[in-house]
Amino acid sequence: MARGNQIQQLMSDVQDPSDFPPQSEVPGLRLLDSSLRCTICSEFFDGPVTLKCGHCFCSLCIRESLSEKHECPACREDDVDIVHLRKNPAMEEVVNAWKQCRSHLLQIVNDSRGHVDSSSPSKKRKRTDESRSATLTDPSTTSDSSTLTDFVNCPMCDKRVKYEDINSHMDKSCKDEPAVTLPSSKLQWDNILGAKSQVKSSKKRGKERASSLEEETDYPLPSKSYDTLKDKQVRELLSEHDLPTTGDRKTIIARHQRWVTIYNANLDKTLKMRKSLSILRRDLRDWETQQKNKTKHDIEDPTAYQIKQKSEFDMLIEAARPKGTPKSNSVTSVSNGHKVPSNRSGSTTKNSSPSVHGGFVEAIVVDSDGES
Amino acid sequence: MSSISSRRLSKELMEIKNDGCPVGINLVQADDFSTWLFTLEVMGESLYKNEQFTLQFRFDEQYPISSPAVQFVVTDGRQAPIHPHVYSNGHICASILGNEWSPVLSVIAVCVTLQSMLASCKKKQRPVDNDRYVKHAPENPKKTRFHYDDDTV
Repeated sequence: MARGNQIQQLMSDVQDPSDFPPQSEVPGLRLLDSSLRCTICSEFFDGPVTLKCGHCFCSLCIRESLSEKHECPACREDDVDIVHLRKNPAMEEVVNAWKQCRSHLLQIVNDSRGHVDSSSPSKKRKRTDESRSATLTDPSTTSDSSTLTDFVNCPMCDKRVKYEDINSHMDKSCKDEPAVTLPSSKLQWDNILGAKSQVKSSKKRGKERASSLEEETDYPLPSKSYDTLKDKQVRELLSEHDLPTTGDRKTIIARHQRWVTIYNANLDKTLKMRKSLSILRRDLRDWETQQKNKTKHDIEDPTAYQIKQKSEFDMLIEAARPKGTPKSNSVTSVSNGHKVPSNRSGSTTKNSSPSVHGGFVEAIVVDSDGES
Repeated sequence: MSSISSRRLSKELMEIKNDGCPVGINLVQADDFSTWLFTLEVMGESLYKNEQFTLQFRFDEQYPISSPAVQFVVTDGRQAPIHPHVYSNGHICASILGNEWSPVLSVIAVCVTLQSMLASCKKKQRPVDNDRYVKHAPENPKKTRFHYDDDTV
C-alpha cells in the first residue's frame, strides 16, 4: 500500500512530455519537450555532451554507459570513448531557457485549451498541471506577493526554497531550476563575487595543487590505473579531494572512480551551472549508500559459512539426488541461505529481486553456457 | 528516495498510461519499480495465433544502464512460447537483453522486439539444449552468458 502511494506520489511529481497536449492538438510542443531530454535518463539534459556520431546525452549518463560499453547507446557506433565527448553549451542554454518558461507555457496552453474544449478526456490531468504550475511559477513574480517567511533554507544545499517546495526540492537532490533561488540582492552579489574568485583561482592553478583543489578548476581529473597503485596511494588520492578514506581496496577504488566520473561530468556544464565540490561530495556519499544497499556481500569465512548453511546444503543435495521426484523443481536457487520458490508471481516477486542474492549464488549455479 | 532508475521507470509508466501499449501488449502489473508484468500476444497470422504469454521485467538500481531481467512467466498455468530462443523455464536468449542492451531502449521497446521475434518464427521448437540448460539455469536469466549465433530471427 505505502509503496503504491509512493509510486503515485512520484508519478505526479515527475514532469514529462505528456504534460503537453498531443501533436494533433498543439503541434510541436510535446516533441520539443521530449527532444530536450536525455534518452538515457529521460530528464532534461544535465551537462549535455555530444558524441562523434552527433548524439547527445547528459554527461553523467553517457559516462556511466561508456564505462559498460564503448558504443553510442543510440546508434551503436563503435569505439566511442570518454575522450570523444564534446560539451554542448548551446543545448544547455536551450534547456535552461525551456525549463524557465515551461510551467508558464503549460499554463497558457492549458488555459487556452480549457476555453476551446472543456470536456477533453485529459481534463483531470490538466487540473493537476495547473495547480502544480501555479506553485512553480517564476519566483520573481511570486516573491512580491509572498512574504519572506514562506522561504526556508534547504538543510542540504542552503538554498532559499519555498516552504511548500522544500520536499520536492530535496527529492530532486537540490537540482531545481536556477530560477527558484530567492533573488535577493545579497545573494546575487555573492554569486557575482563567487564566480569571479573562481575564475581567478582557475587561472592561478598549477602550483600548490592539493590546496587549491577546494576551488573549481577547469581541468578534468585523469583516470587512474588502479592496478599499479597501492592502497595507500589510492587513499592519498581520495584525501587530496577531502573524500573519506575508509573501506577496503574495492570500496576506495570504486569511490575514487565514481568521484572522477561525477567530477568530470560536472566540468561539462557551464560555469554557472556547476555544482560546488561540497554538493558533489554529498552526491558521492548518496551514491555510496545506494550502492551499499545492493552490493553482494562476500563470504569472508567459507568454512564458517558452510557450517552455518549445512542444513540448507544437505537439503539441496537431497533434492538434487536423482530420485525422480519432481519436488526438486520447487527450489531453483539459494539466496543468502533462503529458499526461493520458483513461483514468482505477484507478491513473492519483491523478495526475490536480484539485489538480495548473496555472492554465493554464482558459486553454486555454474553459469550454463546455454546456446541458442 | 527517487533514484535515476525509478524516475526513468516512472516516466516510462506515465507514457504507457497516457499513450497505451502497442497492439497485443498489455500492462498487467506495475506496483513498484522492481517488477512489472505484461501480457504479450502476436497479432495477425503467426504460429502463436490466439496464444497469450506473460512477460516479467525485473529492474535493478542500475537501470537503464544495466538491462532489465526479462523472462516469460511459467507459473500459475502460464506457459512460455515454444520458440528456438525461449527455454521452457521462460528464459529468453535475445542479444538485446544481454550484450546488446542499450540504455536508450525501454520496456516497451523490449516487448515489441520479443513480439516480433515470435511473429517471425518459422517453426515451433524448443532450443536444442533446452533440457541441459533448464536443469542448471540460474534463477535470474541475467546470470546466464548466452551465446548468440543466430541473427535470422
